[in-house]
Amino acid sequence: MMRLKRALAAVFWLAVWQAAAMLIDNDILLASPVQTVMRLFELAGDANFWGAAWFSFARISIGFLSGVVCGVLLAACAYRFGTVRTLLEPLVRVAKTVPVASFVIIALVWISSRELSVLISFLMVLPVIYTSTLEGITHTDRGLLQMSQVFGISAPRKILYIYLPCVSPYFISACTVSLGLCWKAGVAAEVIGIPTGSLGEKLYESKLYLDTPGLFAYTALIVLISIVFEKLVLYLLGACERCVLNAYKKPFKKL
Amino acid sequence: MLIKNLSKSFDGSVLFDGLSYELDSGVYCLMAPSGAGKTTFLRIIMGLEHPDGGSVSGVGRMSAVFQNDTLCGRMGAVANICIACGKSEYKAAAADLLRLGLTEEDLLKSVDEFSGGMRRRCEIVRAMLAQSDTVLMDEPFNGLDSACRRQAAEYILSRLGGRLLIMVTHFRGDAELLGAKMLPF
Repeated sequence: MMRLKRALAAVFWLAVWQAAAMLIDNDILLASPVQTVMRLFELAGDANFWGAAWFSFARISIGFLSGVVCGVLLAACAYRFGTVRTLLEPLVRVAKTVPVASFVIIALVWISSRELSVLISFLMVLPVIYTSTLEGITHTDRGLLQMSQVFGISAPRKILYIYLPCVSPYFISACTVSLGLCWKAGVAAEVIGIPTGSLGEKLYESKLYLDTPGLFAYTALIVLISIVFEKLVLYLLGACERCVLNAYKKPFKKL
Repeated sequence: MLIKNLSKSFDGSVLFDGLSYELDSGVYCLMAPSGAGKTTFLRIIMGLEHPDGGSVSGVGRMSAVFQNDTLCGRMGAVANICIACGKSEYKAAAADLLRLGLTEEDLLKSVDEFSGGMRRRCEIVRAMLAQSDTVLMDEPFNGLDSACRRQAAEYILSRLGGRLLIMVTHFRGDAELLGAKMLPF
């Protein structure tokens, strides 16, 4: 029932979009959903289209994954060592508040525009993952930690079975937020840096040649890739979490 | 275990002072009214709190039933036991939980879905299955009815072996169920 309602809501807004496009009747100002889909199919036949999709996907994914790894490691260090936490606090605050455009322009001075989206998505993901993971670790049940101390539970077991179940809700919600964020910021960086063969370059060219259906088609592609990537990452995280939480449950079905 | 001149104060009020025991294997019970410092005494033995004075030695490896729940709620009962006792104990854990009145269906649930009594029994099994020299129990029968208390006491005694068990409670009946020697407090 909920799915039907969601689908109906999407259909409603597509209808509003189509009606607005028909009313304006100028595809430079507003391309209709039908024109967008047709342009998308047209572009899909071009190898450059897939090349651009892969270019941006690979770089933004690398940025996301390295941001996640570094965020988790830094959060663990900050939890263990107060000095690290104090040192990182201003950096995290800066990373959270400085506009993406400023980062992009500064980064363009230092690195090639081809690697720009890696750095920008990394910078967007890192503070979100770091803050949430640290919060999750800090909120780990004190009683469970004391129990692990009394029973002499080994560090790997403690991480896997005590910290991980406590941190995972924080971590998963941080991943959800940062996945959307890294795609937005990554593509925005490409639009500013215009690396050859990227989705950002294609968006920029569409704007330059007043190809609004193309602009919409590339945007739709970015949205699609970002949704698929988000679903995939969240599915994998959920599967890992279920694997840990359901440990020792299965064998007893056979007892 | 040797406890020598143990003392502890909180906010200027003395909880205990000059507490000394020499304990061998067997069951010992420390009985006192609420707020007398029983839990603090156990926490000092566990190494979770520091005494103001005195010392504790010869504790060895420990296992415990804590006053409050210390189970990972999103995991199953057997998983909770195996985290502390090791993978090799999973069959024993399941068998002991079934022996204490849990069902096979309960073993497939998360501990979050358990009642207070079921959680307590899970904690008792964990404390008894863990490889330890000393078992510490803080009001272990909380939330259990009289039949379950008897069953749990029989289980504890059957699994105790040559270990030392120190229990704190404010119910004399609990100490009697385990045939515990009373410690002056």
